[in-house]
Amino acid sequence: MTMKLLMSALVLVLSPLTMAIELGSENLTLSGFATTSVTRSNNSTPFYINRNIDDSTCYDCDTTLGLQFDYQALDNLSFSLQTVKRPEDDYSDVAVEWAYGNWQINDDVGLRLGRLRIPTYLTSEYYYVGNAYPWVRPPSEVYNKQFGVTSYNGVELNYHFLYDDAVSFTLRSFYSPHNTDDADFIVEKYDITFDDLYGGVIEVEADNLTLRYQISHATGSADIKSDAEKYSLPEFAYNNQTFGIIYTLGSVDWWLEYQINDDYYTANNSYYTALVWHTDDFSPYINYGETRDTLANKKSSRTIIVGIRLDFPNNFSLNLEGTRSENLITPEEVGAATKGQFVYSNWSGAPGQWVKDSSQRVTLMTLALNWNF
Amino acid sequence: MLSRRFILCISLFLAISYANAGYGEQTFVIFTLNHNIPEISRAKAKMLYTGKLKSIKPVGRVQLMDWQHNSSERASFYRQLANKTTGQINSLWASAAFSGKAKPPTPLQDTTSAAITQWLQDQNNGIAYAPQEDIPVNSKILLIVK
Repeated sequence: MTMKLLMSALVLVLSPLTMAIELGSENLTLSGFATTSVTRSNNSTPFYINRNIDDSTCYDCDTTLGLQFDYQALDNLSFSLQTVKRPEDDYSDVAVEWAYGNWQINDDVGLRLGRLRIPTYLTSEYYYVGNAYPWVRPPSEVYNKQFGVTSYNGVELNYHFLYDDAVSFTLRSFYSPHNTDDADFIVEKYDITFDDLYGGVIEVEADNLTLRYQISHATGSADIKSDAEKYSLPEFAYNNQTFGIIYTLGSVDWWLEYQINDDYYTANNSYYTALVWHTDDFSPYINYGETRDTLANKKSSRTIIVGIRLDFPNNFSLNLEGTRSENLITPEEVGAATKGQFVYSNWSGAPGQWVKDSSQRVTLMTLALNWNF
Repeated sequence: MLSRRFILCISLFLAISYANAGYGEQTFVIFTLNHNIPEISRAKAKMLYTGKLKSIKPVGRVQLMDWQHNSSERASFYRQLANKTTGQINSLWASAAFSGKAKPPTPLQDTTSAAITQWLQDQNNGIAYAPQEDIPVNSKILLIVK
C-alpha cells in the first residue's frame, strides 16, 4: 500500500511534464508513461489474460507505470533501460522490458544487444504505452496469443534505408538462445520457456502508411502449477506470422492486423480491424476482432470494441470504451475447455478443471486515463 | 439495402473527416544554424517530424526542437506539415520514444527567436521551426511549410 501511495505521488509530481527529464546532462534522460482505469464486466468469468476483469468494479486491472532511462554515450552508441509495472505486476516486482545497447554502425545499419521486445505485432514495441495506440488495450484476439510474453534476451540487426525521401524500408532479424517468462491464469501459473527464438521483420513506412510483415519461430515448453496439481507441457515448436497495416486517409486511420499461429497444441488464425477518426480533441474508434480455430475449421471468438478518446494538453488522454466479446466454439467441437478471450473456460460441463459456469458472452465498460512524458 | 446504407454512412464519415482536416493557414519555416545540413523535401520533413526518420545524410542524427505541447504554433505546424492533430502527433512520438526508434523533439519553454538561436547553437545538428516572421536572421532555411 505504501508503495502504491509513493507511486501515485510520483505520478502527481511528474504530471505537469510533457517531455523527458534531463538527469544532469542532455545525454541522460528519464521518460515515462502510465495508464490507470476503472473497468467492469457483466460476467463472473475473468476476461482478458493478465487483467482478469470480471463483474466487480476493478480500479487496478489495467494499471501500468513505465520508466525509461536513455543514455547517449557516443554519437553512435546508446543505452536504454525500461522497467514496467505491468497490469499483472506488483509495484515491488516490476518487469524489465528493455535493457539494451544500440550500436549505430552507420546511418543505415544498427545492432541492438540485450533485453529487447519481441517485434511480433504492430504495437509490440510500445505495448503498455496507452497514449501510443487508440484503444485501452491492444485487441485481445491478436495480442494475447503470446500470453503476455513481450521481451527476449538476444540480438537484433537492423538495416534501414530511405527511398526518394518519402518511403523508408526497415529489415530486421533477431535471435535469442534462451528465455523464461510467466503467465498468470489465476488458478494456474505458467512458467514458460522459449528457446532458439529467431525471426525477421520487414517494415515499409510512408507519410500515411505503415506496412509490416513478421515471421518467427521458437521452441517452447511450460511448467504449469495450481493448488491441485503440477504438470509440464512437453517441448513444442512455435511458428508465428503476422501482417499489419496502418493507413491514414484524411483524418481517419485504418488498422488491420492478421496472425497465423501454430504450435504442437493449437492452430489458429486471428485478426482485428479498426477505424479511428481523429478530430482536434477527440477520436472515436470502432474495432472488430476474430479468432478462428483452424483445426476445427470454426470461428472460436469474436469481439467488437467501440470507444472514444479525448486528448488533453500535457500528453494526457482519456478513453471511454465498450467491449462485447463471445466465446463461440463449444468444448464438444474441439474436446477441450475453450476460453475465447476469457482467462478460463465458461462452458458448463466442459472437460478441464478450471471452468466457471457463466455466459459465453461478456460486455465490458472501461474508463482509462493515459499519460506520458 | 443494408449495404447501401453502410456505404452512405462510410461516405458521410469520410466527408466529415476531410472537411475537418482542411484548416490552418500560417506559414512556418524549418531552419538550422548548421550550414552542413542540406535543404529537405516536404516528404523528408514529414518523416522526421513523425518519428519515422532520425538522421539526414551527410550529417547523421539530428536534434529537433519543438514548441510547448499546448501551444497553437505546435498544433498549427503539425496540421500544416503532416495534416495530423495534436493527439495523433503525441501518439506517434510516444510510440517512437518508448520503442527506441527516435528521440522526440525538445519542447522549449522560451520560444523567442533568441532562445531558439541559443538552443540551436548548443546542438550539433539542431533543427527548429517557427512562424516565418520569427526566424533568426543568420539561419539556414531548410523548408518553407505553407
